[in-house]
Amino acid sequence: MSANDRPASESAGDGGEGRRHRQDRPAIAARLTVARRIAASAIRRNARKIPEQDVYLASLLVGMLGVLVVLPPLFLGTREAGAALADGDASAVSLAWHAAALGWLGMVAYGALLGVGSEGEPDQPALLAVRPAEDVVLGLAAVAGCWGALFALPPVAVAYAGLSIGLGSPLPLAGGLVAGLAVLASATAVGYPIGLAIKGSVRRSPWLERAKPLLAVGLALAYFTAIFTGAIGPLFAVLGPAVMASPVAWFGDLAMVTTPGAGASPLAAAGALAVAGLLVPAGLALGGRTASYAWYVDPVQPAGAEEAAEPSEDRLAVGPTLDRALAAVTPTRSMAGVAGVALRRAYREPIQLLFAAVPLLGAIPLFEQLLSTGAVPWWTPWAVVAYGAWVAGTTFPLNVLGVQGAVLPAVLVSRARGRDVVAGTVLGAAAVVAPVTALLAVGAGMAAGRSTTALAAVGIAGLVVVTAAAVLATGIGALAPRLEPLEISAERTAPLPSKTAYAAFSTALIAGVLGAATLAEPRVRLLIALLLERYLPTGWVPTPAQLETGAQLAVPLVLLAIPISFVVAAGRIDRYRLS
Amino acid sequence: MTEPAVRADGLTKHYGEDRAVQDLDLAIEPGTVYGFLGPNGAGKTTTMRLLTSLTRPTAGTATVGGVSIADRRALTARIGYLPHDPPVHGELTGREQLQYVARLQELPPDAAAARIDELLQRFGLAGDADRRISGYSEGMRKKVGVIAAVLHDPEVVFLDEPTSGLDPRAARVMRETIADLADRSMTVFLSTHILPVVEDLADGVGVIHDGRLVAEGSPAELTRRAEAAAGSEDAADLETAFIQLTTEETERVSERPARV
Repeated sequence: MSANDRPASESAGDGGEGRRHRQDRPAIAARLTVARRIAASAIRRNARKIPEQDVYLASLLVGMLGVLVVLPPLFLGTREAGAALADGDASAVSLAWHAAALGWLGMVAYGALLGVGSEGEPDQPALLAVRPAEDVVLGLAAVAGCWGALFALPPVAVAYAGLSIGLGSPLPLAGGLVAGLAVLASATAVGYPIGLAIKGSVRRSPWLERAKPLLAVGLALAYFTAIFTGAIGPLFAVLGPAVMASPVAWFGDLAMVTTPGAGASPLAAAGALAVAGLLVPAGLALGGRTASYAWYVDPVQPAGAEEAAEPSEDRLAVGPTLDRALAAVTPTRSMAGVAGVALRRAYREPIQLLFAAVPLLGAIPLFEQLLSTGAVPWWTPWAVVAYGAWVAGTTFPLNVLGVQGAVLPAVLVSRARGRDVVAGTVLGAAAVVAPVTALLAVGAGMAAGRSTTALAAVGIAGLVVVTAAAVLATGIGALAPRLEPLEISAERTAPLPSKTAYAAFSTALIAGVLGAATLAEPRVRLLIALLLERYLPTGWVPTPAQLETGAQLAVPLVLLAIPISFVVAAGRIDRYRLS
Repeated sequence: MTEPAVRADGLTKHYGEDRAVQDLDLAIEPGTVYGFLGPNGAGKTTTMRLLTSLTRPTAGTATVGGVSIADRRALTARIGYLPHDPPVHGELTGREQLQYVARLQELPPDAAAARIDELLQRFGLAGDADRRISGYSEGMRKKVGVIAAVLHDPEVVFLDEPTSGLDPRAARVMRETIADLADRSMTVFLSTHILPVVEDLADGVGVIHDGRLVAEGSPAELTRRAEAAAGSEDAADLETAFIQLTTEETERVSERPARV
């Protein structure tokens, strides 16, 4: 029967054969089409959103830079291995099996990380009213795979290109890319549902929900500590044999099966393809279940269900005491109010302070030195004071307007004067950070064997410098505020300072602290001169005497900037207008 | 003759080429409720920000409670303001938020505590006062915002959409509260889309459209005007008057050759 012979109702539009044909299409094809559209939408959203997210963009660029830095030595190394293999040395490429297997594990971890994070959420919850979770998760897993490809495929391509060039054959590159794609797809299909399952568990557990920020910080610190201290090596030594004894090692065979003379097993290579072919659909099917587990849940309230009904005095037993103490030491009620609210908010949402931990990553070599030698360097107390000062400044004072968030209009139309708001904000930061810094600095000084006089100096400096830094931060932050809170995870935002404020405050603080240390400690002059000589790209290097002169200029300027900063911040709040 | 609680003379605010408020003249008697109506984007929030000193005018002057809006320090003691988004910290409990506002207003602690308890009771929030605001509904957040706005007993209170997001019971409490504020000689400048609220409570109504005040009068006057314009014997209400006024203005503006 031709189309012309059919009744109009069957031949027109979506009716008749056409509709039946579409209904007969394999369901999986339709789901894949939906998944592709969801993935395309998510990628488009990311492409438009990421350039506006400063911190996210910076961490992405740092990550990509880390990959780019690795590429040249990787290329040279694999080219050399390829040349050795051409000469008959098969052991030159034995690492390929370990790299493929550990790479698979790494991609599983990365997939899980994306599943836990914002990539493990649909663009809009309403999407789940249109398509089932099983379809949505396919699209989001594809996006996770794209993120993985962005970081993983360039090193794979470069490594096997080097091998191909060294060996004089394009075949290794083909095998490497096929293996890379198989690893990426199967590892993402396994890791992403794991991440969703973790997310669902956290959302169902009041304890995990509360501890989430601390767990995240702890894991990040543990990871970086393992990387910087070399503890990751023994971990791989333990994991290596176990992984190599599993089918995951077959991905190495898949990668090397096209490399002549490498000794890869074609059977194992086929097994790797079969493993990937099984893991991808199985993982995605599991993804549907774990996505439902993670998404169809009433999140536990941050306060905790059992806390929500309790009087605040019971939950924060220090509350009334804190208010009384602040009222006793402050000249105005508004100053006490601002300080008390800053402390309460930080205590209850410590993730706002997350970025204060970033410089600790730079201190990992110091921790490594402490662990390996058991000796505390003489400059450690000064480093503690400098870090405490930075923390005190960057917590709330560096965004003295922005930390008020939605309450800013109420603050501006209240009787509170700008100076009360600034002083309250400084007090909120310094009340905790200053004594802790002083104690840690004195403790570090004792461990470093400093004299009693030096300990007293560093203890006083801990209190004074931290408070002064908090004051200094207010003026800088008031001139360059960030009023919109920054997204730091799928569910949380924080009123972080602007980039300009971070940069200006850090510069001023470094100038002040290094200047003061230079004037107080002759050894600091020598140390700075030595470091500049080693790392300064210019031919000119300042002498210790010139450094002292520079410090004599810098320190008074920074000291002068502190009261000016207070006046500027107070005036800015008094005169601030909403746009 | 008494000094108007709110007086504006040629109040104007431009954002670049965008004319948010243009030549606004107001004279609102003390102790009255003034309903400020207008479509979305008409300039209601900008007007409130101008009158509360949160935004600086491009031109014109205004006084609130006899104090120039240029003198924020003197003005703040006389005004209360509830923005459209309630000004609350989710990490605090309702009571802590109100204690914070009381401290910002420099209220004596004992008097503040008693007033907070009284207002929490009145708004039906006493049972939830020690829960964190992050767990509150939008209506509960709005209630906290209204209490914060009137905590220091200001002369003039500016309420931007105070009934939006409230359930019928809470909306009724809000209406009663607004009426009560006016009974206590507080002037209420009320922006809302809920026209029956204005019809019930307002002594005077201003309709703003595209930054200009296009009509002003009592609710009864505006509805009579709508009836007359429609040439109908059917009784009109404020909603009919609002739609008619804003439609007329939209047509008039669309015939205008160019904007500022």
